[in-house]
Amino acid sequence: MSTTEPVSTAVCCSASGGEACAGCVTAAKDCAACAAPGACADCAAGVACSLCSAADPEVVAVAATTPPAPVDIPDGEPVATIAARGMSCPLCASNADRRLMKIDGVTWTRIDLGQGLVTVGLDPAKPTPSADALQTAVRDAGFTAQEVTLPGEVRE
Amino acid sequence: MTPAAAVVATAGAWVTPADAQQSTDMPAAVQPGLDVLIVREEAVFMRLDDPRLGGAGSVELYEFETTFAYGLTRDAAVMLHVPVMVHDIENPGAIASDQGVGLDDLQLMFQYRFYQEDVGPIETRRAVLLSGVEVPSYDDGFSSESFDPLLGLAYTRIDGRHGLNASALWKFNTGTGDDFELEFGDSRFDALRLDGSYLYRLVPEAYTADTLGSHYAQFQVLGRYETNGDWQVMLAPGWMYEGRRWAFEATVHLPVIQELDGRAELEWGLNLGVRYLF
Repeated sequence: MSTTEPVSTAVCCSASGGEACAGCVTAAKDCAACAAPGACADCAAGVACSLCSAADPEVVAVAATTPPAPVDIPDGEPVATIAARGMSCPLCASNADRRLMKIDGVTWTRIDLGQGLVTVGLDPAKPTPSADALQTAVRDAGFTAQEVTLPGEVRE
Repeated sequence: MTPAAAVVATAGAWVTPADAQQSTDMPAAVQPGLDVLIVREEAVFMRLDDPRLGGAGSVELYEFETTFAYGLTRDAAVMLHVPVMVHDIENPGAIASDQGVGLDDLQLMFQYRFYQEDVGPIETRRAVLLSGVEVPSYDDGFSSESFDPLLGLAYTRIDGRHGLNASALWKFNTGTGDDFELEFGDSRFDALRLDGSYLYRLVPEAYTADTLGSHYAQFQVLGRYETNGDWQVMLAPGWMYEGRRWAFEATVHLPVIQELDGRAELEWGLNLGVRYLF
């Protein structure tokens, strides 16, 4: 991980089917793994929301062995995230990766199968792909696409 | 149909899709995505025994099967299965030769996913309709020389490290059959495959963004029934490694029940395969 501050290994309870904490958006820490409605989408530190992880001690224990995906994004590079479901294997990730890389403006992809989170790097010199285009790419690969967060967006 | 055409008219491993999280020797409700081509190569070995009066005796079969699976849409795929057969028969009898290499009947399959429920990052439940036809190769000694429709269903469920598959595939045999059959589906009788499998992801314990591949243990139960009354149950345990663009797999076929009057009995079999995503 490229962060300079201590990082919690806990992940949001929504990753295991629980309901995301509504207060996450105002919490001091953001959850890189959150994908459920209401979860905070402005994730870069890869650190769980202290309110969410405290709600379920079992989630914290499991997450200790499943660290959140490290995110090493150059400063200022725009990224988008897509919450996806049904990507059950490495070949699945490759499938989604191929379709996303065909979108004009997408420069790289990073797929966390365990969290169902797809992160794509965007070319700042090109128009940002639409949320629909990103979702369609994931769907065409054979999976379910959920929330898309474009650069500068924060879920409430 | 020539007598030699009764030899291995149908490859023991009917065409299976070629995508992820499917076990080696049966269909699954997974398929290539839109515009994705997966090529699968399998090397299958079978040792059979036909002790019937006038039977083939000891038989060794080698099948080199190439499957091309292409995603037409996110829910539909076509597959072409091309099997090359090598046989070594102790008592060829009416068969043209005791050793030979030839092209078995091809299979053209269409798969449509009519049910999909993705309930978690990796958790999913899916079902597909399978339909197709065996296309005769007309290779003397290897082909049934008949167009035989295929129809079936497959279901896949994945929860965490666990995967379950179930499938049923019926072959409408329009050929005339022969007295000298070796493999399931060779005769003039209709044939049913009922298969089930369980896959367990050995490593990694949990997927992360850095996961490049995973190892699975697979346990398959393969059932075969023909309307002449023959039936057979095999256990087929194995292993699979799946990377981001390719997969390796290996299974052993062990018969546990064989009530066969119309064809040779399987002693054991082996399937080695590789898949690549283009």
